[in-house]
Amino acid sequence: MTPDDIDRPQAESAPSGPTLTSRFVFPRWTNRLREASAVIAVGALVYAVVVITGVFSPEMSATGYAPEQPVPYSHALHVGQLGIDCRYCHTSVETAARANVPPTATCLNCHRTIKTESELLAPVRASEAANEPLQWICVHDLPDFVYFNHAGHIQSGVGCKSCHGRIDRLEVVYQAEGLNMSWCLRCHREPEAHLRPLDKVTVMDWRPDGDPEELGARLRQERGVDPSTDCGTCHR
Amino acid sequence: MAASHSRDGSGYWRSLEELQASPDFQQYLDTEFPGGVEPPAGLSRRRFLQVMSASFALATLAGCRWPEEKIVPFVKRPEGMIPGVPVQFATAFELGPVAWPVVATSYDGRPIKIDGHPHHTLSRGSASALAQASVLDLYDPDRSKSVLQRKGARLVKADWQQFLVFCRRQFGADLSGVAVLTGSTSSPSVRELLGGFGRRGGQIYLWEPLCRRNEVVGAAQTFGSPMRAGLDLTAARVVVDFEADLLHDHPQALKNSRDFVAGRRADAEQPCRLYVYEHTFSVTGSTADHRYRTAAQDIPAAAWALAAELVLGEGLPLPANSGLDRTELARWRGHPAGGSEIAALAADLMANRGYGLLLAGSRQPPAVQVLLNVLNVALDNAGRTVTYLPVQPPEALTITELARDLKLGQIRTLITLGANPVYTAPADLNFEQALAEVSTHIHLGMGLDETSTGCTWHLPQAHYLEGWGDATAWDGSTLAIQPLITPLHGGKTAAEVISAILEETPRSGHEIARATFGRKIGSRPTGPGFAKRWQEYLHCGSLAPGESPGARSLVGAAQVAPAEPAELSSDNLELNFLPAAALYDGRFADNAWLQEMPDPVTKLAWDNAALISPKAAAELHIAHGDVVELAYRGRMLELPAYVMPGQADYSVTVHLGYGRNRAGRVGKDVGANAYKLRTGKALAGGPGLALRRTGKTYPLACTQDHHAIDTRGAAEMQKRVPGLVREGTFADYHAHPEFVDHLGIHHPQLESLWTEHEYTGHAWGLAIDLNACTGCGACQIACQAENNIPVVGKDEVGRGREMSWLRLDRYFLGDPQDPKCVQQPVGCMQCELAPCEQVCPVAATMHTDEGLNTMVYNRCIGTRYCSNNCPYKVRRFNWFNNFEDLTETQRLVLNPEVTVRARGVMEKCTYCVQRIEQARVQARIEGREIMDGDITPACAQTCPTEAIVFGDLNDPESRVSKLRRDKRAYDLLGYLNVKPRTFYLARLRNPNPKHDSHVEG
Repeated sequence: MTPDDIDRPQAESAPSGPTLTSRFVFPRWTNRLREASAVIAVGALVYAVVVITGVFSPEMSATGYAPEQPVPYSHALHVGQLGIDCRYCHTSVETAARANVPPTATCLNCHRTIKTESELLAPVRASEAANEPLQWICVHDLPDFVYFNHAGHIQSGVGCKSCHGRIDRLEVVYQAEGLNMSWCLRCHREPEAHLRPLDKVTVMDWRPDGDPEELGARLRQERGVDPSTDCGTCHR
Repeated sequence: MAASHSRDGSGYWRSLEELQASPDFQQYLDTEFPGGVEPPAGLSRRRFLQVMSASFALATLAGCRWPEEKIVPFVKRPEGMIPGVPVQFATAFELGPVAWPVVATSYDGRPIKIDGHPHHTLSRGSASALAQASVLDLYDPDRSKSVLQRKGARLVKADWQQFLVFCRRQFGADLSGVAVLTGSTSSPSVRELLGGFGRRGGQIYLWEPLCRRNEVVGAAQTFGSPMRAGLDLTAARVVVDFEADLLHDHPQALKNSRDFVAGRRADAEQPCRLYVYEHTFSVTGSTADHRYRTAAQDIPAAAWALAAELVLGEGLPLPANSGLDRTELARWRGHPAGGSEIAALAADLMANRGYGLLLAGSRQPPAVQVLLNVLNVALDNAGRTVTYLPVQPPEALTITELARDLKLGQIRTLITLGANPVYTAPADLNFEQALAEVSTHIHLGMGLDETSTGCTWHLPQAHYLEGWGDATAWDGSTLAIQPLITPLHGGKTAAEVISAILEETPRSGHEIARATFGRKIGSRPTGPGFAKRWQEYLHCGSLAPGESPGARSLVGAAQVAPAEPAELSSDNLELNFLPAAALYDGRFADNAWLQEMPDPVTKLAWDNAALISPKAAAELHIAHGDVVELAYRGRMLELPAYVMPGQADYSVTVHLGYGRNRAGRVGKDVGANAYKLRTGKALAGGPGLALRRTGKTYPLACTQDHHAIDTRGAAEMQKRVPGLVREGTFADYHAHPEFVDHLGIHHPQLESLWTEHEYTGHAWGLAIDLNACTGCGACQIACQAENNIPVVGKDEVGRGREMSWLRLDRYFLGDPQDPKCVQQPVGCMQCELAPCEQVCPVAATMHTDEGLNTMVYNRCIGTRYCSNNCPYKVRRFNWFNNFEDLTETQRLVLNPEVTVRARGVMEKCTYCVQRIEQARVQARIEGREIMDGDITPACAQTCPTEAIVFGDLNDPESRVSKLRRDKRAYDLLGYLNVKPRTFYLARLRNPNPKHDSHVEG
């Protein structure tokens, strides 16, 4: 049976006028779609390629996102060279969901006496003088339906570096990792590679002594780290 | 147990329409959008899909990186403040003459939730629906934003400085001709200031539309000085409630509920028995073991009949100075108002002398209060279940005198402090007219209302979460009111306004509250040790009252026997005014959460109605939803009729608080204003009401019939309800502890078609004890506040689209004229073999390895298959972008720990998964396992009777596991083998075995 046969139903058996079933027969113009099928197929392929490369490209996951901040604060200088611990500024990282960006006062703890005339610090001094907060731009911006908790990760022994990269080398903070769900889940499924002793969490250049896999497995066992991959863990 | 199913109502049923399978109900079932509401106009569904498919192509082009987000730290962060970590402050919620101890949660500086105070005896962590919803009022977009001053016909913007300048000019040392009108306030500071105002010649008037004056006056007549009754139901074995609604509408209702249920646990040696005489089904009535439908006017006679039976029948010795006369008593013995079972009731009270309690509601006249006080003393209940403690009623004149003085022109300046007399004052005072006589009217209020019309000055009032203050709880303890936020619109408290009028340099609320506290503890704010005491006071939120043994000696007031009650009929009906469960006296009319909270028994949202018994309705040919005209004492009001099972015959009830004609966008013109019928002589109502049909009908948004199927469904439902709300008597339970297993549908061994999960870690479960649930609705508001549940409005509720994650099913049992009532909270059951998960095409509802059935909003595409497949009908769909139109201020109330759902997304109870995850992190921080009690969902946290218990079913020692093993535990629709994690415990009634009317178990 060719399509043309379908095109011409047996007229003698069908009563004239619309029948109960006639509305289920494709109209005649649909035959033209057959000729267009090649174009549709090629189009679909192109579309798929564009969508897939677009969605999975690092640009779409915002890796490398490095907005200009109101103060050109250098982690490379403060952390890398001066060796200030992360927790000096990000005070609540061990106890709260948010690591917190320090208030202006924290900057001025030191800069009241150091580099007091620096042009780069003018916005900080202005913030204090006017009692107007600095407005930093969020780099690691998770979607609003994702609930991430810093304390839970830090207390499990996940190093800062695992998500934020080598902050101690950055002049300008950028997004080091993809922060997409499959990236999160990789670690939730196999956390061993990211676990450290609790006192080494903020150490940027920490390396395990001995076999990293063995240490990871031991830390996981000791601390009972059993990250859930259930939806409700992050979405609620 | 009544398990039959028939039209005569010997089984369970939800509404009269369903029970009688009326043609209207059939039509309700047949329409796609039931409840008398129009289908959505505009686009047809088909056309909509066409438009949408076209716009879909365009939408894909628009997807880009989301907008830049700012991080704004403090300049100098306050010590101890951690961004994103909520902090809690003890404060107090004032409602008329009493205050409730509460704890307010502040998230990054904005109050988002009110809970009960966990350490105060009146609360123990629970808060009423009203207290919890009060946080929404803080962010009401219709609050007034500035001081307003009258310039000609208009109110123009002014500021506090201008007002102060005005005060200096207007008020001298002599304040005669100046009057203050206030609601009854329990604040020691305000009273102190008002005292100063009075001493300088100012006149103080007090008006509280729902006062408890009768109780205080009654106690004063009994004991010689004003008293309030402090109740302790833990000791009670027999409670007789004469329309007092002591579990819901009472100044210590939360404590009463808790204590009452504590005395009724399944293992109680002698469980408490509750008798209720009332005209309208109340929360207490639905919990009662014996409920007698009694018109309000017959209640004095019923009380006298009980007294007669006790003294003459049971030989109760009368104490000295009882004022009771045996011949008078003899006249009342066996009065029909007391009912046929009164002898058994009296015997029960007599057998439990010292463990009984008799109580009349505040609408009953002082004479009834005196009688019951005397009986409480005679029965040795006083000092045990009820302690009469001295109170100091404020010295003030009444609103009647205010209206008179206004009309006489004796008042030049009137200051109304938060009261709304034009709306609430007795209709016969014509208060609006009287108010026009005054030359200067200063109005302090949260917003512009009926009373502010025509005022000279309007002052924005600070919400209680914005200002300092103090208040007195029912147990006499002084409660601290401390602000959590700077006044959003520059409001001031009542105390601050009086201070501005009285004092050369007005004091701040903080200074006033500190000075008052100083006087209480006998120390000056600058004195030694004050700072420490003040800190302690703010930390625990209250100052304990002095010990008092309570009054027991009678002064021998003459007992005034009531007049023989009038004969009620369909031509001479009785009218009763009750506070609306949600709006109270109307002050919460702008609160959308409360407007949408269904009444606990009528299940009516966004409206009030004239409640009328089926018998009276039939005689008057009135059907449910007919608009009727109420004619009472020469005043008329049109109102839809609500045919209410269990209503006393010929007794009509109207709830106050609706029909505001000058309110915010939420409360304006919702329902009918029953104050228009309320006159000074009949504040509680009384006989003399005539009812007339108008021929019009009115759609009522009632949540009780939602999810009805058809008449066959109704019959099936009746067959099944005994398995849904299982109940028996204490006697049944003691004789056959496993009786609940025989109430469900018998089925063969269930076998699963699915591979079942293994739960090796935690297995969360929730127990709901129907024996403890009173149906008060506090859990619903707790859930609403915690989980950002949207309000959808009357039309959508009418379509069955209310969003409440936790609904309270109310079933009636038995005779439609005089049914029993049972309440059942139903939320997501978190089924282990969840039917919703099996049909979701996009895996948006998933199971966790701890047994939670989670909703992933960002995956949901809105097919609603899950809701259709849910046997419990607990899933809610966002038909609209419910949060789209909220102002910036309104958004502040949202809980940041919970996603705000958009249009096209399904949602449902999550067991407060945010609290579970928070507890998990906290346990990890503290290096321990999650312990029983670490996690409390919002509903369980606020439940005054601890009817809801959450925990780990895999931990055999957890409270919920122990309840799971209880003989009363059962699953809802267990035969479907969906394995719900929420389970119920059967309700136990405690009927008096000597009564003839109790349902056999």
